[in-house]
Amino acid sequence: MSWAVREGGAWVPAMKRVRLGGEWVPGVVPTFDPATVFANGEQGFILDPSDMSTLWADTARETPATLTGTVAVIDDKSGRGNHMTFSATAARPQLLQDGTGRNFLRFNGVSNAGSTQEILSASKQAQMFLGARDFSGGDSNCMLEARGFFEAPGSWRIGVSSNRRYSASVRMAGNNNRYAGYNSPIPATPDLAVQVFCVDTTQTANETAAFIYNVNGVDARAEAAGIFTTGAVAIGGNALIDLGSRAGSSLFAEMDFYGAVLRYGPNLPAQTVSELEAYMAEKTGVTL
Amino acid sequence: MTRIVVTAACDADLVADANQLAMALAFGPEDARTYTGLNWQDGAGRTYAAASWQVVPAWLDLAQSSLVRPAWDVGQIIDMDAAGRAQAALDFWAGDGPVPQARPGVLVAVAGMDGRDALAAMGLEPVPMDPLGEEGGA
Repeated sequence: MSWAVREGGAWVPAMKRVRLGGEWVPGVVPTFDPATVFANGEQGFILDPSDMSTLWADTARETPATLTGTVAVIDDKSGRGNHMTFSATAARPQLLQDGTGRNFLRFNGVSNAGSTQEILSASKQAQMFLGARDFSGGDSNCMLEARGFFEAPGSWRIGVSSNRRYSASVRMAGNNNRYAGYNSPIPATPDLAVQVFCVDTTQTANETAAFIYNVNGVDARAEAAGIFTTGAVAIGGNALIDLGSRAGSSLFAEMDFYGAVLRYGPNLPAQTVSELEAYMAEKTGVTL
Repeated sequence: MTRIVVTAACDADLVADANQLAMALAFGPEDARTYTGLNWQDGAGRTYAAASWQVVPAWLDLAQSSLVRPAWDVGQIIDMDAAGRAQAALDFWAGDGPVPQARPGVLVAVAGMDGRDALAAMGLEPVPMDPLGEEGGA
């Protein structure tokens, strides 16, 4: 595989970037396969619009999607079969390609929305990696969310919240079911972002329950707002996952979607988190 | 293939009929969920459901012609009477004259603009919504 990034106006071979002492430094050409984090039966999905073999123009998955056309299904590459389906004609985003040749799905902020089947997981740890460009102008939306965010402790969301660009939250048990999570104000982040949100609800301190929230490789927790309660709850439980809306009926996202990895399972080593972050950065063209 | 974006909006009383029309003009029972939440409002605070999708040019004529039950609907799940009511309520704009404004009892459709631009041209704006509800937080 050939990887390249734009640096100083020129295309150069991409180097895998790893964290050393808190800094991103060049490493070796990446060979990381995100499917390896599902090797022990973990639940979740890998959605990769850059892989045309995973994109379908119909819900029967018989007609391959084509550039500039709409997409009805994104196959899950994790091996778990949690495909993302855009059922109604008006729910289907358009497949486009940016100036660097990267594929993305454009969500219109009106009716484009997908969902998976119900994903069964009793895990109290989860990791989400999302590559997307927000062009909502600050309107609240849901980019990626576990269905039933208001009702179920342990559910979570990543999106745009109340004139703040990018926020991530997990609903905790106890104390009136408040949240642990983070907001990142619009001026602090670009429109195209790789967001990493890792949650461990077995932790007893609020600040560690959502223990990683990176936006483009930068720890965004310094912008924390609304960190509340604690209490061990199962993440996910028995929920389907929505992409681009809340339950297909509200908070529709205006976004360009470059990919996502969701994993319900034990906390990942920091090195693996960094590798997944770099994988998503390559998909979006973001330099971490 | 040339495609055109069509965006439509209607008030709550027309949603059920509009979804029958959506099925009649589209490809399967999934299209019964074309118009969902009342996420848009006009200047008077009246709320509307909206949807935006791509069509081939021939669809514009189809949408305004006599309705025929689509071939896929062998089970006759579409309420063609309801679809007919929605079609009768259709105010379709394809570039001539001022864009019709969203209003109760009318299914306003606009061709040739991106979804949110079309809704703005209809006089609609998003209903403010906090993803975390009244509890606030991140």
